Amino acid sequence: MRILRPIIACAFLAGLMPAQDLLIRNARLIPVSGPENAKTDLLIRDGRVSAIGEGLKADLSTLVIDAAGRAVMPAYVLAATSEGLDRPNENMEVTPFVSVLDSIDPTRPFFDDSVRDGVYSIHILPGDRTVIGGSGRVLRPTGRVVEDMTIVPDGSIKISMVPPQGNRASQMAKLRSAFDDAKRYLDNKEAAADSRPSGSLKLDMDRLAIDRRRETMARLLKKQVTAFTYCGEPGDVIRALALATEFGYEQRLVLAPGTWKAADLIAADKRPVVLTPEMDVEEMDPETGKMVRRELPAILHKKGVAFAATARPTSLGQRYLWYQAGSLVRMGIPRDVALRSVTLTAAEVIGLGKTKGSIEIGKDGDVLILSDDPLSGRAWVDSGVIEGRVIYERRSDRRLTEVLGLGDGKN
Amino acid sequence: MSLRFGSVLLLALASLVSAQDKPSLVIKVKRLHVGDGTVVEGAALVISGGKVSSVVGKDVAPPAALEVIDIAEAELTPGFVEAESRVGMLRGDADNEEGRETTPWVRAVDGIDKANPGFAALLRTGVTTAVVLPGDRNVIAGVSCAMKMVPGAAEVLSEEVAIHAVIGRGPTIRNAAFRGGEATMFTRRPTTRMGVIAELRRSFQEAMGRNQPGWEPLYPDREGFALARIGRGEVPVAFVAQDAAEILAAIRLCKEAGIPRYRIGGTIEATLVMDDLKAAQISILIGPLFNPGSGPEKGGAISDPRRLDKAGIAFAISRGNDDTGSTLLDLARAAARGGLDPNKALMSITSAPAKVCGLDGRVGTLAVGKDADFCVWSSDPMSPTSRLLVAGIGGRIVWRESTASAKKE
Repeated sequence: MRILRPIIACAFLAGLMPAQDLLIRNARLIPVSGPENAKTDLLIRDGRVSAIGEGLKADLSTLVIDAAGRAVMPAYVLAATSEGLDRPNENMEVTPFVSVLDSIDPTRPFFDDSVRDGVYSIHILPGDRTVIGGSGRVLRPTGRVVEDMTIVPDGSIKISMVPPQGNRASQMAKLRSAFDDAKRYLDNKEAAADSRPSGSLKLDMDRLAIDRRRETMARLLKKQVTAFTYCGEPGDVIRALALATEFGYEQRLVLAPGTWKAADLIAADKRPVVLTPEMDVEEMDPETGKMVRRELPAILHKKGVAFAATARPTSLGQRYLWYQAGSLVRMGIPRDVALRSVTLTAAEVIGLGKTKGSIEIGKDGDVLILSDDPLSGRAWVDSGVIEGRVIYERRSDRRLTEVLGLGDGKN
Repeated sequence: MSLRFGSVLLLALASLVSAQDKPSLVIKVKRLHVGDGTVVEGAALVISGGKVSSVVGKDVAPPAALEVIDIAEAELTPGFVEAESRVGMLRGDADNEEGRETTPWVRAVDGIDKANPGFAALLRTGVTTAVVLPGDRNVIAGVSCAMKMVPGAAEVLSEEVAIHAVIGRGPTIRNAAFRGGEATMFTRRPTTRMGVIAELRRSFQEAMGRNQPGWEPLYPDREGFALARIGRGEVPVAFVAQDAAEILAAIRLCKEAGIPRYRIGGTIEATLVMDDLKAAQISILIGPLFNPGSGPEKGGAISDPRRLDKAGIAFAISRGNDDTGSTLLDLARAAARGGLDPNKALMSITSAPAKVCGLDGRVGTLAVGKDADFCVWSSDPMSPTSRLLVAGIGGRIVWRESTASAKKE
């Protein structure tokens, strides 16, 4: 026992101790927030970026990685997804009281893939087949349980303007009644609280009690959480903006490519938006009868709207954020804007613009060392770092080495 | 007078000859991929009479042409060849003529709607030639054809590419007895893989038997007639065989019967039977491909092309039954990310499928004399950032991005 105690104490201290310093040498740095740097060093101390520049000194205890001219960029940020859940939606339509906390399965291969692909901040929300879907949460893909993985708990709520059944009028009626109900609840609560100093001895305990089923909606109305509102067509955008104005809550639009006709309204709203993994749509021009491809990001970019691109693990390309960024360039969007849409803008949309999404001094040390340029289409994550800790090395990725023979770096 | 008339005639003749000689189109680009692995920097593609008349490098001035397109930053590739597709089939025809299990006389070309918008959609992904399959619900489904993707008026490149045979569960789908009840005489057969293979064996033996000297058909029948052509090697058999077991079954069947020409397509497990493929010396079509990790893993791994290439097995990539929205180029890009040389990845969707399908006399590369089917890309086509700017078929520009001309000016 006497021998064990110091060991336990050491182990305890090791857990508390900050991460080892990490120095990445000879990086082709893509900070995203500014211009690229062909050759520089990057120091991460206490989990945060502490120095960028050539010839940085390493302590004896510093872990040094030589990037040897490889690209080093901030870890990708996935601004909205419904992966990693047992099922994306509850059967009931209005379920603001549920939270993805209870639905996320940390053992899902989605999280392994996210580690492998360098997506280190993931905003998981309930799916689109809903009216009000419940609370979302931002996680990193590593950790034993959801609490370990969490970066931001219950900071968002899912709303859909696209009816899972019925028409849009009934969808709107259901939304409005849910908001009316929440408003009444909030007003009652505030009135009850106000009545206290007035000297009334009779407190209505029912009115004071916290109703957990209504609390999330109340927090939305108090602007303590942000709504992520899925819109499938231009009319959905109009209704979503009107609803947010009417009830006064903070909202980010999640836009399918069919909403392109509402680009002016989206631009006037001045908030950054989230794009669905499908970013373009083919439509028949009603006058010429010809098929026309509408590229929502290109239209939004022209109007000055900042957007985050997202990915979905169905098709070969769309499951990768780098592919999505490449697609944005294909649509005529500048390279830096395209890269920002899967890093910094994505972080800003989910309220993490100050800590994630770019390599800047003071920000979290979430960085990737890539085998090639991120938009080359052939890049793999060689090393992945979360808050200064190396959490992934391609050469020791068993799935890539054993199953695919891809981990050796020689390909 | 006569002299003057003669000279005018001569002049007219000369101008006629020169108009014929003068290339119809010259396209200057930063880099030209011939499709056979060669890359020409600062190249110009010279087209006349719908064919490639020459490819000149940066040191040679291209000849004067009726039309010149000069896109300095662009890269030019041959139009891609999709070896297994259903494009242009009328609704329902993409399945099969289900009157019988073996319908070798049914021709896909007869079910095609040449104005189908699917052709234009495929063209926009860089595909200029597609082999159209008659379906995969029959054991012997029929004759595939090759189409060129001219929007609104697709052209037939070949009415007869191969006779398609499907091994595996494809033809058994929906054949099971109603709600698990007893199979009756009304239940369509076969219902198992061994049933499918037995049906194929019967057909192939008949195919070979028809060509024995002294064989007299009792009566002329369309099935026997079509099968006999397989036996004589006039038309190859194209198998759709997904799993390793199905690939081996195809090889075994053809060896047994002595079928002279065959190939295997739609495979996702070719890397498991590389020795057998090598021994049989047959060409294969692989696809779809999938990434490592989660998602619908019903495809081969993206490292399969690299492994097959290393083993020296000739292969081409096709989309097969991929319904996830990935394009043929996406598959080639994935193969390159999986370690295949990017030039070879491009070949695997151009010259390789053309060769596998026996269309390499006309399409697949931009060698002199081949059809001038080409795509102009905004940058390296292997990168997801590249965009199709111009597509041409038979020397004619059939698609041009609306902003491409604006950018040029």
